[in-house]
Parts: sequence; C-alpha cells; structure tokens
Amino acid sequence: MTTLVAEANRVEDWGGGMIVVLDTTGDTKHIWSRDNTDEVAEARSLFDRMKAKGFQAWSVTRKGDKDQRITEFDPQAEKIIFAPALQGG
Amino acid sequence: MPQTGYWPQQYYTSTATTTNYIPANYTWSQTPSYQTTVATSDLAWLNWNATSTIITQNTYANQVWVQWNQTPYTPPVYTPEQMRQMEAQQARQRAIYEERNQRRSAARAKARTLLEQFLDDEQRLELERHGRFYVTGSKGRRYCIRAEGQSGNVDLLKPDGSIQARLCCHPRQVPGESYELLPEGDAWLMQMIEIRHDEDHFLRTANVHRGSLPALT
Repeated sequence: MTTLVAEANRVEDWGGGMIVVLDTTGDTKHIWSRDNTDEVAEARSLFDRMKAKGFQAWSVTRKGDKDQRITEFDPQAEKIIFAPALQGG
Repeated sequence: MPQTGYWPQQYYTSTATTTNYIPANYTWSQTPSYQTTVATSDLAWLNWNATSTIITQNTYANQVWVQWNQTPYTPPVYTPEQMRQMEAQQARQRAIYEERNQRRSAARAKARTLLEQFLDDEQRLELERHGRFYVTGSKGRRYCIRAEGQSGNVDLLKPDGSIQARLCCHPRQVPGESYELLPEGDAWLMQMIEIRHDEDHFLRTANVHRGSLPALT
C-alpha cells in the first residue's frame, strides 16, 4: 500500500481504492489495488487500527449517491474516509 | 440617605436589612467624619466593617487589607545572563507558535482542496464567491454550510430559503496524540456527508443555537 503525496482522485480508473484519514495535517491518503492481496490486507489492517482509535468510517463517492457509514472494511470501496465522530457543540 | 456618590453597604440581621452609605470619594487612608480613631491605611476597610452597631463583626475581616499593605512590591532585578535566558525562551516560544501557525495554515489549505473534490460546480462556486454552500439532506431538507469556523455554522433552511434553525454539529477532537480539532474544510466535508447520508442523525446530534427543529422520525 502506498501513502500518496500527490492527489489521486480518480482511483476508480485503475481498479483501486483509497483510505483518507482526516487528521490535524488535513488528511493522509492510502491506496490499494484490488488485485493485490498484500495491499488489500494492509488496507484492512489500517482500517481496523483506525476503528480501534475511535474514528468513524464512511464509504463515499464524489457524487454522494452511495455514501454510507461502514464498520467493516470493503475492498471494493471507492473511497473510505476516516474522521472523528460528530458531536453537538 | 443619598443614593449617588456613595457605596451602599448592607447589613442583614434576622429581622431587618439596613443600608449604610460610604462616601465613594473616600480614599483608603482618609478619616471619615464619624471616625475618631487614628487614621491608618486600613481605616476605610475597618470603616466598611464597623460603621453599624447592629452587625456582629468578624474581627479578622480586615486582615487581607492589612497584609496587602505590609507586603510592599519589590520589582525583580535580573542579571544580564537571566535576561539572555528569558529572551532565548521567548524566541523559542515564538518559533513554536509560528511553526504551529504554518502547519495549521497548510492543513487548512489541504482540507479545503479535499472538500472541493466532493463539491459539484455550483457548490464550489458558491463557496468561492459567498463563503458557503448548500446541501440537500437524505430526507430532502435543505442546509447551508457556512465557511465560518466549525461551530454553529450549519443552517437548516425553510422551503422559502430562510433559516429555520442554526445548528452546531462538528467532528470531535482527533483521537490520538494531539487531540486538536480537524481543519475547517474537513469539518465541513463531514457535516455535508452526514447530512446527505443521514440528516435525522445529524439533527439529533446537533445543538440548536437558534430556531427549532422539525419533528424527526
């Protein structure tokens, strides 16, 4: 799995997925290729670590037509965003 | 008894409340006309506590004022070496502050870029021109997310576009080492995602700063 420095927005074009972790630096991106079992396993491990830290996961698309909160890693997901849960302020 | 130019001093007993008035132009060392004892620096304080015959006075009530006057202020004197150390410490603090500002500024720019990837052209234009964008919730209600911090920046709109409720709902502090808030762009993105996926959950979580919420199912 690769941590991207440059933006990689059209991950659907190359058959991969992306985990975006929102943090105090803005965000950190991690991508995986769906045919690479090592990268999928590493993405799943990252997913579990972030869940354990208390982040919430959203499977999202740019159009927003398939947004859903998820609790299990989905290797077919286009983009997964990790963020702290919302709270009333 | 005059009502202006005096400090009202009230005494409470089990049967009555009495107000005595201390002239406001008394200095702490001035002897009031009805005080016959020798003027001292704490006389006004004594006077404050002692001008009624119906109060049971706490004889220690003036100790703070007495001690205040017994402890003269002595300005600290630093050696040149101490001055150098303090200046170096201030420079380090300034550098930390500037580094943190730069880091937050870069994070804000990055978050804004990510947000814009999820906005359509109309939303992006609205954000750029007016510092806000509109979102349609999962139940069809309309919201305005204002790019003004991340607290109380979401408006639930009526069908005519006026504000039905001003809401506060934002991501918690980032779990882990820093426990800082996310940069604003990230917070606006998460507000948008939550609204368009499950707006009832968003409304239940939010605090209402103004207006009222619709009935939720």
